[in-house]
Amino acid sequence: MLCALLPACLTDPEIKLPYEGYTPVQKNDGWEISTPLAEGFDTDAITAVYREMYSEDLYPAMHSLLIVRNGKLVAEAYCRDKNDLHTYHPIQSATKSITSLLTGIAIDQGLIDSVEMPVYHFIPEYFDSDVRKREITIHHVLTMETGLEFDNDTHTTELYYGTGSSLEYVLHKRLVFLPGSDWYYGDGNPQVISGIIQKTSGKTEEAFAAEFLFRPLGIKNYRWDQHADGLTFGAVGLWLIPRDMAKIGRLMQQNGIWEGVQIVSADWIARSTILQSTHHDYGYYWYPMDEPGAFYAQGHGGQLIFVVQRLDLVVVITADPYSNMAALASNFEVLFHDIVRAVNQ
Amino acid sequence: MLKTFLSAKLLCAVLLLLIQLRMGVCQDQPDSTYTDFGVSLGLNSYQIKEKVLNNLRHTGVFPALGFSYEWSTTQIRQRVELYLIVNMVKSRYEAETAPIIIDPALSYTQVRKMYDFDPELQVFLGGTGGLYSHMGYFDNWDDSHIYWLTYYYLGINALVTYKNPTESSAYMEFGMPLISLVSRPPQRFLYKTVNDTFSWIFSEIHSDLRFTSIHEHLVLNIDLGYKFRHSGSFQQKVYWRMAYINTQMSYSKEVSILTHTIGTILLF
Repeated sequence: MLCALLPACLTDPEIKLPYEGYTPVQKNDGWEISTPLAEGFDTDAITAVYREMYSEDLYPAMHSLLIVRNGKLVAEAYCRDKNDLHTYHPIQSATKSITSLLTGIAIDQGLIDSVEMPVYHFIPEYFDSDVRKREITIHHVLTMETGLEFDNDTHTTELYYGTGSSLEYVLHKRLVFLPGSDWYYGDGNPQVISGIIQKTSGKTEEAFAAEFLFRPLGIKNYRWDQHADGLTFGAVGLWLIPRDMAKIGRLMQQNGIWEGVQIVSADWIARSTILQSTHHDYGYYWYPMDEPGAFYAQGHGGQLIFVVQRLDLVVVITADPYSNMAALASNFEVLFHDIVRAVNQ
Repeated sequence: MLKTFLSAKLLCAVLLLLIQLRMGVCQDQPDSTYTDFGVSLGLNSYQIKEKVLNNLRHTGVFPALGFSYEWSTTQIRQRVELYLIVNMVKSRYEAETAPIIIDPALSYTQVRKMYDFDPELQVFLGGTGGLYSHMGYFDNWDDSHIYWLTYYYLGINALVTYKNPTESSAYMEFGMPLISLVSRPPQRFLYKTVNDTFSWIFSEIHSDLRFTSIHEHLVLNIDLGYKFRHSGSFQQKVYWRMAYINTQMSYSKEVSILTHTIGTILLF
């Protein structure tokens, strides 16, 4: 018995499921199903992409890949767990892009006059005595140019688990550069947007989203975490199923129109997804790509919504939400570009 | 679960009864007492499958360190041991950086002589109890949480020794927790929770402690070694130690840990 135990090892199973293709299943969730061939893709190229997704040698942290073209779901696969089709998943900082969309809806509704309005106008009670902070505008908040010293490595967790006012926590951070003079990515900024939406609409950001964004899109299976003070987290904390992430992408691709109804103005879609920061390649919580009308939302670990308006294309990717894409050699942009190249017409 | 718990209790009672009965057989021999303080240095091969993280195996080889204190009579052997495994493990996908494993363990073992086949071959049976805590930080897969298995346990222990004419001895020891108080992470983490303060980590690795037994928490410890005397009171053991842990709590996912350690214990 001892001789048998000496070399004993745990097995090292495959991390992915066996490849079963990428045909979407029919669900009564508002998605029309089609095929890559019918929607103008090189089928072999799409098959190659999904083979890579299922490869044991590539993208080990990947969970799902969905392709939408011409408003139809043409390819979909879940390589780690088939239940991911139904299970909401933390979209991490892609939450910020939803917060951006909701800002546009709030502007459309007249709750906010313009992005040039100072934050101090809406929530003066959370400011400290540093008068320079009163120059911070919504534009600065949406472009990460507030100058507030918010370090995600420590402050995000403190914000998330804090018990006081989340707005006070963010706005009392030291000003390390004058508003608009530099760019610094921080999870505190979208919390300010959440606070403004709540102050102006009388609803939490989640309730505002439920009424004016999720309900029209048929998004029901989600979770959105909130701070102890009742404010919805604007930067992180939204959980969506991949198909509903694709609906967000489709709405963006359609310039804010969903089933003939303007959910958010086309003007906002255009403005929020082009370069807005003068110091970084950043829109209003969306990342513009080189091509006009091409942009993406990105969350930690590889939660991605790619949109290419010219090609009527949306690509959604989800992955282990806290993984290190670089260490695990998971550059999902390669997959996205392979899909773009697979478009024939 | 209650049935298994009661079964484990019954097994403990039977073992204790056996020990008491056998004590009468072996107690009429002359007694002598000795104590040993031991420092253990080993090379640990660590394998873990933490399914809350994913189903991959993470492996690593790294030194292990232990301290022990033994006080024994001819009839009874007792030992307190503090053992620390620190390892850098990695999955097949990771080439450069390696996640960190820290497994401290504290145990008390008492065994009594049960069988004296001849002066050379002796069998001891008894009990063991202690604490084992596994903490893993798999940075590449999850930079925001620690993964853990903590258990306090009571169980059985058996020791077989064979002493040769040169005063050296070989031994084999087997231990197995029967009743444990176990803490595991939830099946799915919420937002990032890593906090490096001792109080937070201590609290985290003791969350949701629940009593369980071998149906959910199986641990097997096997220790095989050879003890020999250098001079005076200075002795040395060389050993191979294997530990297998498989835990599947209802509120969490399965974790399996298999460790092999080869090393030496310097006894003073």
